[in-house]
Amino acid sequence: MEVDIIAAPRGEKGKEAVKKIRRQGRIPAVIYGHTFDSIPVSVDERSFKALMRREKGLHGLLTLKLEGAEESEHTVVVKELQRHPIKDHILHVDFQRIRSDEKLHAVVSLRFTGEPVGVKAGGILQHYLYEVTVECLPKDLPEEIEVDISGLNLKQNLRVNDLPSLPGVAYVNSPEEIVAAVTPKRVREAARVVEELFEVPVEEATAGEEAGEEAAEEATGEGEESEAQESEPGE
Amino acid sequence: MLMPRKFKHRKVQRGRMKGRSKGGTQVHFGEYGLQALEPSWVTARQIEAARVAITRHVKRSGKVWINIFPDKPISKKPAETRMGSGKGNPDHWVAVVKPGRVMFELSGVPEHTAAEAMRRAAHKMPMKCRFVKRETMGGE
Repeated sequence: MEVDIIAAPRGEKGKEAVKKIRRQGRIPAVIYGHTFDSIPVSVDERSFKALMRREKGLHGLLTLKLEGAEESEHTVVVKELQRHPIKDHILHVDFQRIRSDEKLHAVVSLRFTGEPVGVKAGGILQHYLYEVTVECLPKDLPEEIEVDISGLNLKQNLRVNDLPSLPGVAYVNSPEEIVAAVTPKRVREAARVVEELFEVPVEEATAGEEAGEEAAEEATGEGEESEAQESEPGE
Repeated sequence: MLMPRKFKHRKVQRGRMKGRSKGGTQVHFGEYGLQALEPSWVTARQIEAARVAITRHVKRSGKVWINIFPDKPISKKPAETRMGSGKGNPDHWVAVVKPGRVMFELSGVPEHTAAEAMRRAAHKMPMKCRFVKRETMGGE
């Protein structure tokens, strides 16, 4: 089997040790799984990012080679990916070792195809789920699930039980959970309701006038604009 | 403009904006977002201006989420007033935003439209921002 990624065991644990590993251009990671002991490892950052850039990304099964171990090759899935909240660095990766005879839970992304009928009629397509959790044997694990939404009409929902049934794959999400929906355009009305709800009291309105001419001009300018928007005929 | 419906205290202390945002650092509801890169107070006016900028650019298609809420009252003394005599009157409301916070989210529009809408919104913000996308496990 072709090796997707090579990992090296890391001896030291802890905050300072992983910082040192990151400075060396490697990503700290861990391999764990049912009936296996967890092994702290590190992977090369460049090769890991190259793996992410390929067509299927990190979805599906990967073959991981562990350097200097007796049982060197493992079939794994990426269970979790920790990223820096501001920089794009990958901080840590969780690999789950899988057994071919044991069912696993995995998150699979949905790929939507086609333009819904409702969108052509002036609606807005709203996605509620971008990925679903599935339960299946490793051999049946799909890399992604293609969903045709071209038949979705205005005010119609696509639920988890409407997703295509794949052999050997069961959806863990609630069958009634909404995946996508086409709703009528109501952006402007919603904004107006919010404005009405949070209308500025008289006392504070006068305080705002004292705050300066610029601010007052800005407020009236915006007010006119929003009114102008509201007066347009709805679609 | 956004402001709390009711509040416990009319005037509060300024506080500090140390560190990074504790949560809300990923695009959660939509497909694209605008992330703050610096700490700042964002006024209700600025939030409204950014919302208007986004909705205009996407021509009311798509869906916009505002993930910040101005819940902190800021007081101000009247102009040409001598110092002293207590704290000023409540003037406006701000949201305390720390680096990493995804302030606006957008979905239902192509990426280039979303990027331009967020660029326009970023001009209304008092801090450096960047355009972010929903995190995936790579591929495309």
